[in-house]
Amino acid sequence: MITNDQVRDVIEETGVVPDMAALDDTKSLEENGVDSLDTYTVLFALEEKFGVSLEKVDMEKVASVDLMVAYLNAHGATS
Amino acid sequence: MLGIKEIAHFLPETRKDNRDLMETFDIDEAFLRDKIGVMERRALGPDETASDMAVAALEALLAKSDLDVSEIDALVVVTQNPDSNIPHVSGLVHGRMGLPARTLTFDISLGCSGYVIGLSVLTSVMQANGFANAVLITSDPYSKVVQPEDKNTVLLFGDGATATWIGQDPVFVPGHFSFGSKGDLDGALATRDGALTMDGRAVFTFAAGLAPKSVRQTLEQAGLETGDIDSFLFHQGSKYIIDTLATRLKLPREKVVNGLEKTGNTVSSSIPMLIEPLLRDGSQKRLLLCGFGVGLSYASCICTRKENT
Repeated sequence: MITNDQVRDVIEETGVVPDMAALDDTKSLEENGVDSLDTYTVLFALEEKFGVSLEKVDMEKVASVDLMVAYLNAHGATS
Repeated sequence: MLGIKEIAHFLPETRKDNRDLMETFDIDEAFLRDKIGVMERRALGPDETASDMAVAALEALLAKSDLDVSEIDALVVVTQNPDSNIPHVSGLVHGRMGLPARTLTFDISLGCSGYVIGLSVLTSVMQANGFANAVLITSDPYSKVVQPEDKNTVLLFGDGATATWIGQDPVFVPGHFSFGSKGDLDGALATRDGALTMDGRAVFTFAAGLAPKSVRQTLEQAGLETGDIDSFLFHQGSKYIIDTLATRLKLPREKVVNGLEKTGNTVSSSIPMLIEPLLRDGSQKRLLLCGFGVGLSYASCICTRKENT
């Protein structure tokens, strides 16, 4: 099972969120102040880390940390 | 030994300031400068065409070199926005510039990978046929297909053209080419009914994933490491993708050339525009070129200063 902490670690490694403590897992990255380009970087990093293709997933299905975790676990992601 | 002897460029006079679009697209100057990287673009007039830019670039090349039109054995134009489907743009340039009847002309239909691939194609054609001099032109006026209301593309693309003289006794010798294609992503960057559409996320994922692999493959083929390269000349897709590639390849930022701010993404012209000022900089022994985009496709090579080959 992929956890929120694992996804947050990946986001932190990308460097797109200046204050990880302020990142609300229930809100979309956009609502957390992350622009679309940085969101692409996060999704790409998640693909590489967990081996799940997110290329054709609607952005709204993986908009927040909670949604990312749910999607990854539903699609066979391995840590 | 064939290679790049000289490069010239042409930019249309009309300037488009991206700051004028900030309110329309709800963006600020920091986003323009730090993410898009384009503050100003150039645009052809409505009656101007790819062949007009190509002719202007060739005239600039002839003016700054001792190449004479009578010496040109082959003329190739890289474009996907020709004056018309028939005839080819290089044929139009041939006629307007009074090139010899024996000159081979053909176009290459490629976008942002077109210059690197064009270098390989043209040097191969020259070697196979014993040609001494050829000109590789890039001229792709995206203003013809970009839609003014499309935030994804209108802030990025600018018009511009280059002309590269390829011949004996060059400054830079291109080699160690690597190529690749992702034809299943054909819809990521395409025109539909004459309008350009771009899936920014798909293009980003493609470039961030495959361009570094292409760079590494080229270095491996050459038996070199990143530290052996003086400058990395990536296609100027956006500042964001250039920064992403630099980060993923762990490159020192001073070795990654950025030339977007005043021209925008000029498609196949972006890489030769970066090489042009480096021709006379003797400290630049090896350049790594990497183009990626329409197709989707990608290509890399290393240009080595002749004395260092």
